[in-house]
Amino acid sequence: MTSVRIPLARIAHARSGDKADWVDFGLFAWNLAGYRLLEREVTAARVRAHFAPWLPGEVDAWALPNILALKFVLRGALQGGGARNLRLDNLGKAMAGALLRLEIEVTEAELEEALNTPRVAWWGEGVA
Amino acid sequence: MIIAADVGGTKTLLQLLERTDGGARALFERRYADAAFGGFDELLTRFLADARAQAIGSGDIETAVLGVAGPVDGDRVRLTGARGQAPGPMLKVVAGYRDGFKAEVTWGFSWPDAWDKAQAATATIRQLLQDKRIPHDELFVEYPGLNSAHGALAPLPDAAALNAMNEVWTRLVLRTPEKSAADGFGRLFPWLALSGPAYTCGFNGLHNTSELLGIWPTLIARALVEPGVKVDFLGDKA
Repeated sequence: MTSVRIPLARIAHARSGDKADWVDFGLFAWNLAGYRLLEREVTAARVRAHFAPWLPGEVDAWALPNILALKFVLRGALQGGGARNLRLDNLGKAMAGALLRLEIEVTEAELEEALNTPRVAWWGEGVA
Repeated sequence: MIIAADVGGTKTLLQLLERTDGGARALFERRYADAAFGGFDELLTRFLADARAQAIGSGDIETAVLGVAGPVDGDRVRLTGARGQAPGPMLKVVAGYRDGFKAEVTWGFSWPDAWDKAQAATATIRQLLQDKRIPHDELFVEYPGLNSAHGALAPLPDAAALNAMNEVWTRLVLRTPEKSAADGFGRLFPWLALSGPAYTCGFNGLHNTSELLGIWPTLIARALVEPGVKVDFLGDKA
């Protein structure tokens, strides 16, 4: 079966922000098919390796299957915390986008399913 | 004014009353779940604050009548029915501490060769910091529009493509333990505007020192904190 490399941005969305010197990420699938791929591919080790060239901190991960999401914490990511960080993005809010650059390998059939399954809407919109 | 309370094992009902000719008239009434409070004093404080928030009860309290549904033993009353867990031994603390100063300058360089100009200007600033022995921990450099969001994870075009760009913005931030070094950082730049690589605009860095705060999340024994807790109301004097 043919496999493809895709950035997480194809099948997921994310939010991030500061927790002292850690950045806390929520990585959300749009549907269950997408969540299965995230759960299988996006481990703490993969996230750590992804950020290592820039922010080589420890990563912890938690699965939140009830909301089709994974949570990650990247330690030592903010130069000691938001109020001493010299970056323009001192609170790490843009780092969710950086997480969505992470590439995973999936089969074409899996990608197809994740893209074509209707999105789950938690607030009553567009539920199939 | 009078406080009347019906204190139960799970809930407490409080009233604030004022005397009338025939007896008393209730001005304010609230019911609270006991589990949300560490003790009756906390609960009473909250009740008075809630009353005050509605501009009720500015007069002195002359009497308090507390009905407690349980057997009395000396000055203690045993209540039953409360559920929950005892509070943990530790409290979470997020402490801030002073941790140096920063000063920053952001400027833009224009085509042609904007990238090379930005590099040359930054190298000059680094050299000046060294020559003038300005104490600093780091000179942080990023390029808004290119990598300020994703740092080293944002792929940069090659140098030729960068030099072909219309403009390149550079943000330089000095981290230093000394305020005077931060105050003087902006003074490294004006002459460069005249004699260095041609810059576009955006330079406004003469006086922008700010203090940096480190953050220390930790735990502290509850027993060290709670005996010293004092609650001040920001009332009429605020």
